[in-house]
Amino acid sequence: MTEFALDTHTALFIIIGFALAWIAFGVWLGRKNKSHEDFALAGRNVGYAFAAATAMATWVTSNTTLVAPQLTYQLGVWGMVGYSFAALGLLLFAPMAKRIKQLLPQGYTSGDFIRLRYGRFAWGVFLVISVVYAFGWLVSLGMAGGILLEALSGLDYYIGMTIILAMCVGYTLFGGLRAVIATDFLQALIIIVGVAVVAYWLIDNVGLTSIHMELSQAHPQLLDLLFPAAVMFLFNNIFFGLGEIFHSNVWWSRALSFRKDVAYKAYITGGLLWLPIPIVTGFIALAAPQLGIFPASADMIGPAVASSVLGKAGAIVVFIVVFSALASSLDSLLAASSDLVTQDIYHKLIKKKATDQQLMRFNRYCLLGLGFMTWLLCLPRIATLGALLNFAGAFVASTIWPIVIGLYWRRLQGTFAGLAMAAGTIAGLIAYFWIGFYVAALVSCAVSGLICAAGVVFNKRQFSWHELQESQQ
Amino acid sequence: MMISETALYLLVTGALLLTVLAPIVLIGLFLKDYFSKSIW
Amino acid sequence: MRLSGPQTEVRAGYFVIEFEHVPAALRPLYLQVSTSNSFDTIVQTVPVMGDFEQVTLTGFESGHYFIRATHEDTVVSETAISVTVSHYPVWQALTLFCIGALLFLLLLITLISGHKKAVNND
Repeated sequence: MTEFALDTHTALFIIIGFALAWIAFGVWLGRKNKSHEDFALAGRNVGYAFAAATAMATWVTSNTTLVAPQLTYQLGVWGMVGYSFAALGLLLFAPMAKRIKQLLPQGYTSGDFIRLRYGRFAWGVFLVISVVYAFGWLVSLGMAGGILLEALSGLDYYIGMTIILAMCVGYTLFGGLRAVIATDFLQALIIIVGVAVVAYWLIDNVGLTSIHMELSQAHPQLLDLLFPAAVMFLFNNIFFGLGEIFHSNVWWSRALSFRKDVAYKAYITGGLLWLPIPIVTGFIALAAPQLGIFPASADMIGPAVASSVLGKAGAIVVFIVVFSALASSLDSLLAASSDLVTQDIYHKLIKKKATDQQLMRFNRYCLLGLGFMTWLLCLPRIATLGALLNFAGAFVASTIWPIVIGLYWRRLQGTFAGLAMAAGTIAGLIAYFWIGFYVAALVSCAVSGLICAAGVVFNKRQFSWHELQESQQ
Repeated sequence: MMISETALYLLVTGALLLTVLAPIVLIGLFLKDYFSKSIW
Repeated sequence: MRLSGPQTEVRAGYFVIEFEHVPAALRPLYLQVSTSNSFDTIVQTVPVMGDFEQVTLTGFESGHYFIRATHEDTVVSETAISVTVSHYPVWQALTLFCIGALLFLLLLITLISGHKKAVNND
């Protein structure tokens, strides 16, 4: 009989309590939503505090609390430092967020921009990439939720997965982006305090000297600064992160919802606040050998250490942190994806003259539908944690250059941008299967960059920024 | 080439310190927004 | 009882060891890791968590390792298994690192110059 860190009833009590509280909070926040703009973009007037917190909390996914320790357990010091470089995504998106606000004051989604800037062909390619990524991430989060809650408490996979999905759909449905952002603020606080407590306890009780000594004797590779596998995949990981943030409507809809003077500094602050977190969560894994903890699978190392050192209190902390981390990403992704479907597919392709109220209603149905589809896809429980996202790097990294060039330069045209994304993705996938996971995003970004460069050189027509204003109609 | 104990200590405690600072910054910003009525 | 490990060379210093049908009487189970088949010097002794039937070991430098299972200082695995760890060559890692760094630098220059241009045009 496996002993769980937390007993099932306590776990169920915690998640149902949180679910009810978050949904009530969502309903309370939603009373201000009068128009579709309120619902989808929180009235485009989000202040600095919420903006910075939501940027940080959304980027703290189950990955930061679980994969950062996993990578540290596998790749050592470089694992955690390398993971923290993912903060570059938020930091580099800061100037872009400002530019996005400026170019598309009335825009709704990243798809809007690609369609207006590059036309239908590139838009089609972009939507395929977005959908693959969003569904991959949604399903992996939903599954991660179920698997983790089960691993920590023995709570049935289907119950855990269903509650977490229903909760996120619930409060987003009532409160829209306002609920997503306000819950993100509280979830960010919970996550930070939780990981800091565990790390502080380890430093105080186990001590860095003994951790360093144990590692240098029995696991020297973990302290190696020239760990080949870690050095090799460092930039691949960075491009993966950049691709995720630059293309995803999760980040664009945030940029568009922030107040004009806030977008830039919110992303910078969010990035800086995020930067140390993977090091703190990763460090938890470095202490494992000293504590005699060797997990069955590497992705369980963080929770295993925390609950073993802090006992039941630790298990509750880990449970709440992981639950918050999952929810803060899942809600954002649900909201941003249903905005994308509502705006880019329903409003632009199906019903061009839809009224504001129709858009809002469709957006809500869409959220329900997406939640339900995610739930269906999570039922078979096919993949292990994160495995679904493994080759997403090839998809998203191909969008980096077309987006950066498209935002600032007028010389790249749609055909080349579309080709760059399609060829980059294909090349990245080929590299993933022929060479290894550590080159997928790198190859994708490089190939797409070359095609964009060719596009800039051979192009004769300059894009006029006024063409972006169509969305105001 | 192994990371020295001092470097590891600085890395981890530095990161922990910054992490602890984060909620203070966030709550400070929130109070500022709250009193200037610019949360949303 | 029988142990099984990675069939091919390990490229990143971590791997999973599985064991089948461990009777409850053999818990708590430990794995011993040595660089020699005779287990003269033990590199690591790893306690196996709970009643899991696998464990992930980590932090190995390149080399050959032998692994066996023990319970209360008695060897309980039929045979010791061997695992070969062979890290990617440093030149290969550094080459990819440099290519990545170059691409990143190009992106950074593009982004910053674009941003500056946009700010100046305001």
